[in-house]
Amino acid sequence: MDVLESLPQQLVYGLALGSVYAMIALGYSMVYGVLEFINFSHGEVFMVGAFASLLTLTALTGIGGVVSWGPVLLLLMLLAAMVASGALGVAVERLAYRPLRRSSRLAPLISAIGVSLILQNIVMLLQVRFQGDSRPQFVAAGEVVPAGGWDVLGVRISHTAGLVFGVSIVLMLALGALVTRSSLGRSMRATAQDPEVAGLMGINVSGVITRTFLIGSGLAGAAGCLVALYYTQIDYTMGFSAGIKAFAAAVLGGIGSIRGAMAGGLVLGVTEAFAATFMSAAYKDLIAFALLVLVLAIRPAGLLGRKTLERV
Amino acid sequence: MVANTGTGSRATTHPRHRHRRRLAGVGLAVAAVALAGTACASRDTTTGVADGDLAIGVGVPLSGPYARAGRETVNAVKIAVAEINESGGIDGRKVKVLEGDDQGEPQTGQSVAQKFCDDDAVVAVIGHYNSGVTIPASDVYQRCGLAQVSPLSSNPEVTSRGLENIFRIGARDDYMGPALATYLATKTDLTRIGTIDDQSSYGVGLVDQFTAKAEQAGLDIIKSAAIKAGDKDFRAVLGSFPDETQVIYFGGYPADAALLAQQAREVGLDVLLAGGDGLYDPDLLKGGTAVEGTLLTASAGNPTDDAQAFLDAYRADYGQPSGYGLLEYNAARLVLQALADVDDLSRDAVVDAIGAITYEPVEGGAPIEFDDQGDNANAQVHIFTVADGAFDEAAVLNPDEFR
Amino acid sequence: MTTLAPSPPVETEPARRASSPDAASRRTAAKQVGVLVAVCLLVILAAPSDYSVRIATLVLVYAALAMGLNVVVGLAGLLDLGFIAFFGVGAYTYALLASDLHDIHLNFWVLLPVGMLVAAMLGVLVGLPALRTHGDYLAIVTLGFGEIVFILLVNLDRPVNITNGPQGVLGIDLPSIGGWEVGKEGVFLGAFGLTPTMQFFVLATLYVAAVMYCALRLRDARLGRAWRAMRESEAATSSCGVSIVRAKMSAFVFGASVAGGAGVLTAAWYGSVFPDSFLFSESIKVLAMVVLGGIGSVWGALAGALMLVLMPELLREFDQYRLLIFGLVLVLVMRLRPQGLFGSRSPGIRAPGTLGNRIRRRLRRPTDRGGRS
Repeated sequence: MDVLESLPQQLVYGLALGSVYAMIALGYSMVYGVLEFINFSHGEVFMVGAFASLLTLTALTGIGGVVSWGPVLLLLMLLAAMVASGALGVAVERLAYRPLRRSSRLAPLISAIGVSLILQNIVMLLQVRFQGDSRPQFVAAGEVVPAGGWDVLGVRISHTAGLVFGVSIVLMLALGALVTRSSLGRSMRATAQDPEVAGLMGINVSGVITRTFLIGSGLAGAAGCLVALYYTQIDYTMGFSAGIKAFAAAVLGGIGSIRGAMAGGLVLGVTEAFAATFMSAAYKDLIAFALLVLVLAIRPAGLLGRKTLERV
Repeated sequence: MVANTGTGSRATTHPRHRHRRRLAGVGLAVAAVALAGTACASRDTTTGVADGDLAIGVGVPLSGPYARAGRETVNAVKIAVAEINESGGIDGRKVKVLEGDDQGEPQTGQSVAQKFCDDDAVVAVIGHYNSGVTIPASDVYQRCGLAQVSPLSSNPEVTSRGLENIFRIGARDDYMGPALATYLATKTDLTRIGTIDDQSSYGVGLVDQFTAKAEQAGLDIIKSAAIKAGDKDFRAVLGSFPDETQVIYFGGYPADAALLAQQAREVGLDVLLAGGDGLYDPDLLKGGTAVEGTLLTASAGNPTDDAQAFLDAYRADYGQPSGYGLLEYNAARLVLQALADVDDLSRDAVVDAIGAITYEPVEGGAPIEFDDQGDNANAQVHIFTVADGAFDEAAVLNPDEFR
Repeated sequence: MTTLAPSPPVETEPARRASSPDAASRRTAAKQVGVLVAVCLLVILAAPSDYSVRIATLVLVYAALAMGLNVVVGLAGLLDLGFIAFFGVGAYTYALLASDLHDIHLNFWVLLPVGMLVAAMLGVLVGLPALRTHGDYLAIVTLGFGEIVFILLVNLDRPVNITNGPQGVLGIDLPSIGGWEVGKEGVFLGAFGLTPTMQFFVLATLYVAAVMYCALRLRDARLGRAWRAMRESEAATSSCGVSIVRAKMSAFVFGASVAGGAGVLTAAWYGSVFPDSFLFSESIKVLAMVVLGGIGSVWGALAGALMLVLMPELLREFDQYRLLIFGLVLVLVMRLRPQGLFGSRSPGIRAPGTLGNRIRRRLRRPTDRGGRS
């Protein structure tokens, strides 16, 4: 296959990867927008979502095949992942971040790193407890989405890749509408602009923060479910690297901006895919990080970030 | 500027006095904790082996990503040691198994090694698992003259650095890669080969050795690539391989291999996966139909009926062992045989006894004997293929066939 | 009566010292370093086994790292998440220039400053974007740098073999003084013998003592005050005529060179280096030491290193619960004592990050946000 010929195909792989990054990046971005705080445990929330969807799949197909129709399975998996991750995100905020809101800037960051370790190891220990080891789990994606794909002008798009695009676009559009149209969105934007004034205007700032975590974590959970189906393999450490990449994507697009997070995710995904093709795949992470450092050195507010950006 | 310095420090003079008193307290606390820490460490090493018992140290990863492999080694050694204790021990002395968790990290491995070295009851060590840990740990063992038998660390450097006290049972990477290249060249008509390594010490070494032999044997290496171990999306990398690729030789671990096989199908590559002993693992089989036909090498064959007693004992306590449980069990028996051979149980004598040993594996086959470097001179390479979701032994190669 | 004659100098001595703040600072620093060295001496006398000395050496290496990072994060307030990269660069500098890999065998005492210099140059490189970025953005830039260094260490084995890639560098030379190699055979001072492990412990003690002295002196010096002022308010600091560029750069360079030197020492001690030892999780470990011990406190950094190195050693029996406990400790310490175990409750440290302050800051400068300031 000629390298240039493979370009559109690589674009597809990159976009699928990128939309996953984008969905996780949104969580970082929203939380940062409201609290100016890097939620380091966000990657682990995503990982828990992936495991929740796998458990749902196993439970539903395992017991005599209670549900076997793909779309219903998918819907239930997505729901389980979003609920589990959303609830977890809110719980983490309550227990580990809220008590630290008045302390030094480093304290919540360290706490988040601690939460990250705790979540990883709880999942690992549960795996060991119930199945004897903590190795990667394989996901029977074939039960949910039939194997194969579409052939569009010589470009192969697998069903799972299509699913990742479709669901992530729907969810991101929904989020966009929520933030710009609803009253919740208005209070979120107000809090992001200025927490104190927002509080004076009668907005329940703590409530807004809780809901921000709920939505951001729910999206990460959905991403976890999609990734479980697309990668067909999940493990308890997956949140770390996905988290770092998504974080990079969020900063790339200008942290605190929703459109920025989406753009950053897609740019990073496509860059990685192209780097894997045209250079050594060994250097794909290097390209991603070098791009990040360069962008920040030249344009510290990110690609789409502006000094006075509407946040969230 | 000068004035600045003056006022600045005068302002801090008063707090500094308070500061100093607090610091003295901190210093004392630090000292107390440090001493408590060392005291605890000392208690560990002395209470572990009382009343003249002997101990075999097992240094393996018991937490972290390789914990399962390490646990299997400990289990296999425990079975062998329990057997010898039931039959009266070594010269009437009971043998204990000391576990040391190296976490798969070099520095922790050296700490574990030091702990074994300091413990006079330890007469030999079995371990470690990762070559990247075995090598730095062997420097520590060398200093205290302790014999180290590594069942599986396959990097050539483990034995090639001229240390007297290290021995290896399994086949080296420079056997594994060339053996599979030889098999491809002589037993199949597959010639257009791609390679992928996972950037680990193990994976890179394996692919390098494979590539050298493959080119020499007339195979055509048409593309080499790398992935990052633990990544999940290899589509972009696989998409960059030419369509005519027939085999992808992968240096890495089984979970990644299973994903590679599945995603190769998804991107439309019709290739056979091949790899080293890392793939001889149930995780590979989870790749389902995509891994059917995968070729791999291993240091041990499928356990035969002769090893039934071991398999029964293992299953009774720990469940089903992987193919390596038997090899590790043999390693432990080999060490115990050496201990029975020596008179004075000094560390030097144990090293010499292991070096001179001829050990008959429980499952039969060629005896284990060590060459000058400490490698098993009769290490065979078993070629497996995946058929109907199970490992099927396709061939056994002796060192002279591929070296 | 005989005491009368020498009494005037005794009285004037403290007065003269107090008149020179620099001398006072020097004296307190020397005293504190003396305490450290005394404790280390106790350890080596009381240590029951080489194993405990090895663990103590590990504590010292991490203490040096934590003291270096403490200057960057604690004093200058610059969050560095890729700090372990400097350690790695130092370690590889020694590994590549004193081993069989390239058949170069330079002396340890030559390479110690070289390793520090190479790490310091990388520090300047990291510091450049740091001049323009801020707070959490700086965190990601440094994290990115850390990852880049790691990827380079893994991949610079082809097309030309520089680092030997993931295989690491083996057979690294022992440091030598004159004809005698540290860590080779026992050294006897009278009846008292030093095992190879103890010799490295002595080396590490000397290094940490030097680092500690510099850290304590710098904290009280003009530069240290500039760092602390910058941490509280960059704008105010720079309007007082302090060069922010120089202050930031010097913080990065100091932290980097300390880590680089520790890397040289560690490479010589281990005898082998592997890229895997310089992962992000190690950066986090050092950061956790700084924060746990108390941000900005030199002794706190040492205490943090002591706790986080000893904890896994003492809890080794818990095997798989270790990391879980580690995480719980981080969360609980932050919740119950955010200034760290040995940090002071200085309001200055706590102020810049609180929500209330951030709000006030914004009110003062309404157009100023989004990473720049």
